[in-house]
Amino acid sequence: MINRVIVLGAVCVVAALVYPIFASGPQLDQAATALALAGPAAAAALSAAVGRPTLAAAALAGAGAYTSGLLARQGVPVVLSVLCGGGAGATAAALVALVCWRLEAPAFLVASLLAALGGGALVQALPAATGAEAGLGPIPPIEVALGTTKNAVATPVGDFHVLLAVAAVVAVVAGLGLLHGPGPVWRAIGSDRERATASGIRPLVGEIGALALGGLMAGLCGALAAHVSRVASPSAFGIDAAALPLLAALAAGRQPIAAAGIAVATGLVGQVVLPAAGWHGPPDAGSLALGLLAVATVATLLPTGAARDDRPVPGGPSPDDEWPLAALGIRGASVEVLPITVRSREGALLVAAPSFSVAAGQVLAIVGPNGSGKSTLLRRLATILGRERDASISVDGGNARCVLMPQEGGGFGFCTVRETLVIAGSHQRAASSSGPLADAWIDRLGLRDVAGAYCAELPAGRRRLAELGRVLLSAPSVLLCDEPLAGLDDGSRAAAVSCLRAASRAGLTILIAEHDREAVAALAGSVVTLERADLVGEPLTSPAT
Amino acid sequence: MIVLQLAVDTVSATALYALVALAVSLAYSGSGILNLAIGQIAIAGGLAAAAATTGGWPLWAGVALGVGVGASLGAAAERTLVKPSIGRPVLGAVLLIAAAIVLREVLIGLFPRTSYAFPVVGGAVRVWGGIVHIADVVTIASVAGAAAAGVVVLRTTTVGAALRATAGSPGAAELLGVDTQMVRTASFAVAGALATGAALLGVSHFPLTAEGGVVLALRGVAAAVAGGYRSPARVLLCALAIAAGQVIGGFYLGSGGEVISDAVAVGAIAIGAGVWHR
Repeated sequence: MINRVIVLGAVCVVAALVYPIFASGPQLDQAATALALAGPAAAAALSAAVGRPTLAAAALAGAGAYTSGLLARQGVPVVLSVLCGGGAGATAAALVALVCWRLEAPAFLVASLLAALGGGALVQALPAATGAEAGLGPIPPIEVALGTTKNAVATPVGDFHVLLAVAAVVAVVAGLGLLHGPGPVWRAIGSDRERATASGIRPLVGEIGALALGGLMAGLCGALAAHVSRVASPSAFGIDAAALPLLAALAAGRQPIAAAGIAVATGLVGQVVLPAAGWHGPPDAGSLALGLLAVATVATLLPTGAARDDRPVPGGPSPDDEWPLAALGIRGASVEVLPITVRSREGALLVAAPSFSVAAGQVLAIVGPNGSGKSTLLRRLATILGRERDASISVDGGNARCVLMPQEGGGFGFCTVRETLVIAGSHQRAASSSGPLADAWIDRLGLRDVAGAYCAELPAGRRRLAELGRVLLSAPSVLLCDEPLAGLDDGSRAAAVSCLRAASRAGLTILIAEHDREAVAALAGSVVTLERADLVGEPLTSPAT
Repeated sequence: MIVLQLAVDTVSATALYALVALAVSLAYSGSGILNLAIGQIAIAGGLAAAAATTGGWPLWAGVALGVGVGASLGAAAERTLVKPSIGRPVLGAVLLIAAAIVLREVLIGLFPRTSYAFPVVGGAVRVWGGIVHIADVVTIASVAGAAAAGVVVLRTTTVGAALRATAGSPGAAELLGVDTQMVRTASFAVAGALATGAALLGVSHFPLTAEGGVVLALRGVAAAVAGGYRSPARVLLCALAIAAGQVIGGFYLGSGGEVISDAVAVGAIAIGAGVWHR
């Protein structure tokens, strides 16, 4: 169904190529407005892919339009003005990313919308410079240099096609940006910030980079559209303009090219097709097109989800072969933990763990009933070992690296299996060696047939295998595994146990929370038993058994 | 005594934003999705109430109709847009924005005038040389009453316990026998009713116009987000900051005050999220 929508968008864009031949000036302006949506939609797709869904994409185009318009009216060459417009969009986007970097996605959504509306209020507050409600105009048209002696002022039709070409280029650049270069890293950040950080990625750098590229795309399209229609409109900062790009991006599965196509198609339906068909509302044609897109999104996208097929996979990993651990350069570390408690914000005791220690290259199992806080303890240990380093835990060696394998999911959802392992392997390793290493592990884990599939689309068991590969390639000294065998079939389970045992023999220190008693018996050299914290009160100081 | 007047205006606006924030937090607790259509739903209810009272209905009947419309639209939004979006908070929020835009355009068609009248408690009293409007006092008292009632319901009733269980862990709540789907729908319905109440109480601050939903809602949403949804004191503090930015900025800068208010809202979210959420 998504493919059909993309084809529909492509048909609309092709129609736009022919449309100017028949259309009059105002109709061209409306079509130009729709075409200019390509930039904000690509920006919204990039921002959503990096986990920073923004409602300010259209406002970034508006920033580009006003910047370019103001400069061009001051006599700056149009091409330079347009480039400055793109720069203004990139700067504004980077600024929003920086100011709001600690926000979760929904909060970022609201903050970005407020920022967009604030931009609109600023335009209204400076009527002398911006033209307030009427918009900034007239803006000089695009001029194409034909030689050393003369310039040709492009016709409206020519302008339109310049914009169309730029919109297409913008969408393609954004699409390629997400597929190549830093793209996989951006998608890894968008998949899971914590996992990305654990794999050595700096989320803030990636977020600023992705949003700045998106802002550049939006700013360029907005600036060009302003020169085509000769006016920069404050409507770019309104809530109507805010919703469409992001909705198109989500409908397109965060793919910039598809998002641009869907946004342009929706814009053309609202700006050109419905008015030409005589639709006058209510609701008005633009809102109706947006509503139709929302309905199509609900109807087509929502039933999909991660597949849940945990049947044994033919050609799955074997427990008997060698594991390619030598290339990982494992250096284990011993860990000593004093009695530790974890409390909720309200002060309730969540975990009361006794003191324990585990030597380098040993496996310690944390067992206990549901609700005893095994996962909470592992997360707390990961936080302390990863960042805080306090007196309750000591690790030998200053550079010990602790990596958590969380209970849920696996790999980076919006990255392929291979991209996930390459990203994990890139940490503390030359980029050239991480590819072959990732391939070796893909083969050994029996994931070759899904190496190019997105992790979010994998069955749960295979996703866990990809996660096992990710954490091992992240070069840990201490590995914290939260139910690593959950969701695996018998063959994969045996292989995962074999892998962890081999990693332990190679020197890796492993703390594992697991319900499977057989696996615990096969793996663990020592066991810590947790009881429900509300039953036992403060922690004991007895050593691990 | 302009200071007193600004202070009362600020507290009154704070109360309105806090009421919207309460509605947003309620809906968020049940679903994990920000109801960004809440402002337009409130305006729909408000306009229905205004049309009823203008048409000769008694005030109480008009209010009941408006609140009913708000609750119905809230429940309908939950059933059609939020339910399929559970687990996808961003998609749910954007779908609600799209629905709000369509609803706004429909309302513009049905209620084309620039603003609609709704009876407010009239009169003003002089306090320390300044003028305090009775409507503001009523607003503040009503919101305080609604907040107190909300706390009582949440902490002492089965319905409140069901909502808290659903907010904490929907899966665990279902194992305990809670109908989480019904809780979600009810939370959106009550949120719609509360927001309609805010629109009607705020008639003297925000003109009852089909296009006025965004402003009313967004700052309330910002207060809820910045305060972390579940802490009334923090939500109130953020609502106060946003309202102060709007009232004081508007007094000194005119329309430029909107920029100040939005900047304060973004700042409140950034700081609130940074300091309290993590």
